[in-house]
Amino acid sequence: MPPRKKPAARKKRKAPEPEPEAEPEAVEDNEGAVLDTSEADLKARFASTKTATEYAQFHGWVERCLEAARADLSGALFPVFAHCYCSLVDEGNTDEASRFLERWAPSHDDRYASYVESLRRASSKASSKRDPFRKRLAKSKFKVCLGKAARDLLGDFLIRSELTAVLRILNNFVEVEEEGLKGVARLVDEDVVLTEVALGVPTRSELETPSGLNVPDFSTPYGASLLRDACRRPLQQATESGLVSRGRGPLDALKPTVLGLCIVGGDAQRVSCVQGSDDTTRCIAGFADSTVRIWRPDAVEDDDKNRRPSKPLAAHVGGVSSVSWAGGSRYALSSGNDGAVVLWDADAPNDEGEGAPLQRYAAHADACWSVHSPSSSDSLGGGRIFATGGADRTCRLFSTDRTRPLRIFAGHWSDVTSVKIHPNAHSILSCSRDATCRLWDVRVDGGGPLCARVLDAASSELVRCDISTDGASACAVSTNGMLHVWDLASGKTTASIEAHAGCAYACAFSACGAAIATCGRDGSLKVWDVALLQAKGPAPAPAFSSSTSDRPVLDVRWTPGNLLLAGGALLE
Amino acid sequence: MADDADTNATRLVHAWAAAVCRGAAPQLEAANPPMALDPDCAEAVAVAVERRLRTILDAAAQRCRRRRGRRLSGDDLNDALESLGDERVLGHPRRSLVATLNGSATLEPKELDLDAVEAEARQRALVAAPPEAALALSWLAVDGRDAREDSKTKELKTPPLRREQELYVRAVDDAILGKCDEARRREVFRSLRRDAGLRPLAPHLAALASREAAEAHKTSRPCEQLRYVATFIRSLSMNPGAGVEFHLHQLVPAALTLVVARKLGGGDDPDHWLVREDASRCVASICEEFGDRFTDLRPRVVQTLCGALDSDKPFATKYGALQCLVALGPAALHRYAEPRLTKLANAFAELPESDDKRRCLDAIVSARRGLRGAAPGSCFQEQTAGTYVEGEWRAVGEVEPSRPPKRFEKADDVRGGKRKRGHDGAAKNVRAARPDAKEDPLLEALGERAVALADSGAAVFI
Repeated sequence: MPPRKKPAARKKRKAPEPEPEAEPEAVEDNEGAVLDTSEADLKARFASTKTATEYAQFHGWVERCLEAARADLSGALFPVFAHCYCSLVDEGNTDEASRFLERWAPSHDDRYASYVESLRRASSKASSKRDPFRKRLAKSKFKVCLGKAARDLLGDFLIRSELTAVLRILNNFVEVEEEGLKGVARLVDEDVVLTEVALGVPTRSELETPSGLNVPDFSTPYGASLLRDACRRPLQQATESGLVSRGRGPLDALKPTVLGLCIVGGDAQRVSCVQGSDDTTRCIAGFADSTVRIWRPDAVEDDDKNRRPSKPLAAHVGGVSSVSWAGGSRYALSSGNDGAVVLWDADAPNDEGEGAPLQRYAAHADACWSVHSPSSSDSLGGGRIFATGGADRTCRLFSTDRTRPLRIFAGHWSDVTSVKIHPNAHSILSCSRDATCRLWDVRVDGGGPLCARVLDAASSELVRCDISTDGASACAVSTNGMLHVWDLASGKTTASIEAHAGCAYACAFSACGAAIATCGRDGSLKVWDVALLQAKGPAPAPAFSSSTSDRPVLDVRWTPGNLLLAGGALLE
Repeated sequence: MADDADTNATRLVHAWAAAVCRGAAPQLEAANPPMALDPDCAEAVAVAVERRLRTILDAAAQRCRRRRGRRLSGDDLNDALESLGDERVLGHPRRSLVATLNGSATLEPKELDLDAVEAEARQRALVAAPPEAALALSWLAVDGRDAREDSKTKELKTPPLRREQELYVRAVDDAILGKCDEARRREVFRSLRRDAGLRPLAPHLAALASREAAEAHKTSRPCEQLRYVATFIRSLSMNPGAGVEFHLHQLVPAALTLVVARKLGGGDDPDHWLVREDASRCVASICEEFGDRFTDLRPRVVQTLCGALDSDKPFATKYGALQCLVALGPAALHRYAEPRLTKLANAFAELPESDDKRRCLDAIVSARRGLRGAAPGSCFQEQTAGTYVEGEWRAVGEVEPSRPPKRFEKADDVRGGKRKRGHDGAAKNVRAARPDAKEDPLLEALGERAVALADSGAAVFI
């Protein structure tokens, strides 16, 4: 076993100019060195140091493996790395642990940046006890996909080299599966029993009597009369009046027609979210300076420059993090960093134009990152219920006539970054910084299993999720630009591709379900063919791709007629 | 100590950590009775501090991501602090913070003289209000085909000048060409520096600057006029409301031409030295103002200057390049001029005895003098002096193009090596900021962590 040069390392700490490069060589090249007694003594004292050297050996072996096996085996590296680091920290060996992290973290940074950052945070025994990620590591297992050949190779190597610590970690914390995403370890939380979830579009009887939810009558005073006509409105097919000619049928989602909603002017850089309404008669945008603006795209233009001005509306105390239209194009919701959700009436007159806040809901204790309400085309509950997700790791369901939540769903390990209500309003999809999506059943009232599905495939924080209009599949994008697609009934990943360079911002299923649009920080907007994504084989090229100069596209959304609305800021 | 710490001790450590994070260490040192730290305890505090900082950074990064920003801003950090139950103390110099006994820091209440504030506000020029955010619709694609080609060309056309704008440009032109008297010229430059409504004129003024610079070598342009051109570019770049950042690609090459041109004003005018010096100061002030926002600006300027120093161009060119590096500050001087200085001095020494030679050698001496100020540490002290100017804080990494550029009247205070990051930078900074770092085990432990933290910080500041 190559000894870890503990005394030398101690000396280096005092030396004025440490040489970080010298150390890893010492680990790998001292294979045949004779053990110094004092070193052996030290090694006995720090059994965990052995783990570190074993990891170095394991990592080196994987690097030296044949190309074909390496693709598989590299997935097993991160779990071993994470648990080695934890054992170093737990034995109070902080110096060794930080050296171990600095040595090996760079090789994991591209895939597991957020996990590595979480590990960094728990760098002492005392702090690791309270760290949520450490708790999760201890409770959950990594899922790694290894082919048969790779598994045989691994077993053979571990036994031959007597890497007992690595073997122990692999036995205790890694679950090997035959098929899946190769080369990536996924942290899988507690086994969720696949409970029966109502998927698919709502039935006629459900539309007439919205069961499932115990949504009370609109008898409460505030805004009830205003809300009633919005909520009780029957299903209506939205038309793209004024912008798309009425004569045409639904547009082809794979050859998309894209309408850019560009925010221009002085405050444009501070815009954080833009959303056009289903019938494209309105557009709402939230700004980091805590204001919200509402436009009527079909209104008379201000001047010959194709611009429509508007007045800032204020009801938030912190920056606005997301906006959503609620049941048509009259009511809208916005969520803010102050944890509040505000309901806006776009038609209400105010001093300087239109738009006024109707109600403010104190939704979350910490910042509220996302709000979603079904639009009128989404049928059930349009404008009447909305879901929120926030930094307090919960996701909540509200009814617009009550200031208290109807349901609170807890279970995510980190901030909930996006929520989406299922088209039949029986469940809610949420995605989180813990790299998983969860499907929550809203029908079960207390006691029952609320989390119906845990969808994992991601190794990076998820940013935004969406559900297809037929209610059968879900998609999400992550901070490292990946797009994941799941089948909701089975909870299995059906596609996982790299869609953008850098962080992706939004994803949306088209109304016909045949396409997914994504956009990201790299300023590009892409449309993917779902059928091609789910086919086996190499990653497909996007069906449509367009890129702005370098301004990010903030939001994408399809209207029921398959018109793609892309929102962003435009620098002048 | 951290191993078997009972709850009380843990709480104490975290109170310390919180206090140290808020920059309240000096107050704790001065506490009565003084609380000395032994190395074990310092280590534990350092770990807790690190964890605390990472938590704050993480929360701030998430805020930055949610507002779809590219860089962490001071507001993100302050929001994060607030959500973690602290006060919004980022951006306030440490001396205005007061540590309380339970480990939190608050702002020292300060009385302001209303009259003084009002007088100060009156003195400042009004900045034009930014235009209101508006919605513009555009078809990005129709049936899968890009629909933007024709609209692009339309956008690029600059609108024609109105009558009064034409008069203004002509007045500037006259001032540069020396067709008006001194008082009038000063008035023009003052207006260029301070007037709020220059935004629509900026394209024309930038084009004017680049036209003038292109003609700098002609005999018909006396050096006196070229000095006015340099002043003109500098004045324009100082105007906060002119939107100069969109025309830097014209202004910077124009100014650099005046610095490193082979011939200025026909070549036999002795005043060309002064033109080069003026233009150097102009380049330096542009770099100072916009270098943080456009990260490739400084490298491009330095590349031109180094190219001029390394080539076999005439000594006047090299003199200009060296002067410009001196103006860019000790950090640039240390990195780019020092390796070339000996060779340059030898080249200058071979010139025939003349005023020119004396002038060139003087430049070498002034560069040497500048280098002496660039020793590690002193750089950073300049930086600390410069971070708090005119009541405005510039947080590290805050590059918000939406805000009007902040004016730095005392450019000398903040010049040089301001955004020094990375390994040795962070370590040096910590040591330089606290000369007593070696004696203090806490700070030593912190210093080591600062290096690791700077690394992960850099990842956040992308």
